[in-house]
Amino acid sequence: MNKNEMMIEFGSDAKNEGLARIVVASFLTRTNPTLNEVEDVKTAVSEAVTNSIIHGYENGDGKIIIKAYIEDRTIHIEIIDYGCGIPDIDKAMEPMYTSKGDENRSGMGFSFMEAFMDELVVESKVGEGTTIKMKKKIGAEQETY
Amino acid sequence: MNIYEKMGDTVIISLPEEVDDYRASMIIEGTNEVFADDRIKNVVFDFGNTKFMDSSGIGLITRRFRDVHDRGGEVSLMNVNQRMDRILLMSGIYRIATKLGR
Repeated sequence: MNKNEMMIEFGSDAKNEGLARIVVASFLTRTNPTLNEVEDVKTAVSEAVTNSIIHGYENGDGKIIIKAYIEDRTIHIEIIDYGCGIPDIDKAMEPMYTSKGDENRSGMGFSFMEAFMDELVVESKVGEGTTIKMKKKIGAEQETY
Repeated sequence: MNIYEKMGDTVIISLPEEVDDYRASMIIEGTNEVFADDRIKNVVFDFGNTKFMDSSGIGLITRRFRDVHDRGGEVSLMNVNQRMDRILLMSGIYRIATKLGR
């Protein structure tokens, strides 16, 4: 399969979490994924975008960019923000860790991204922003049967 | 919008089709008042309409668990479909919440 790519930019607003999921899920359909695979990718995208909105921009204004491409039935996704960045990435990725001290947060965002995608890389610089790179091979599930 | 129903000391929360940070925050805000009442001991989350949930939903369940646990109450989950079951299992939420029915 040839490489195919997309990019969207949208405002940091919780209402856009659904938009981000739908756009990536639509893009993914051309790989002929299973329902589970679509849901996995949607969940991971939702976690990453939520992270940008809540942590990157602390619920303030900002732009979030999603870039994705499909190559050989593998989807590569980047979620980029220009927010405050993550001071300690290892700490942020610990299960149940939440920097917000907010009892409404599960602290499981990165754990979910890791569980539902094949690969997860987080790049961040304090004051400059965060890029979350994820990829998932579609069709891996069927092959195991 | 009717996000919860009160039956005696139990509050039943009907979750929307998609539970993300946006929706979970709305549900938390919309139920803060009812859970401020000490007489509310139990909470039931109804997943009957829910097709999508991310970790924000786990945050929501955990939050209400804390409210009722201190009062000796319980958290139950009903109408859990296969996808939701996968998310719930992965999160470890079944350590603090009981799945009703099948």
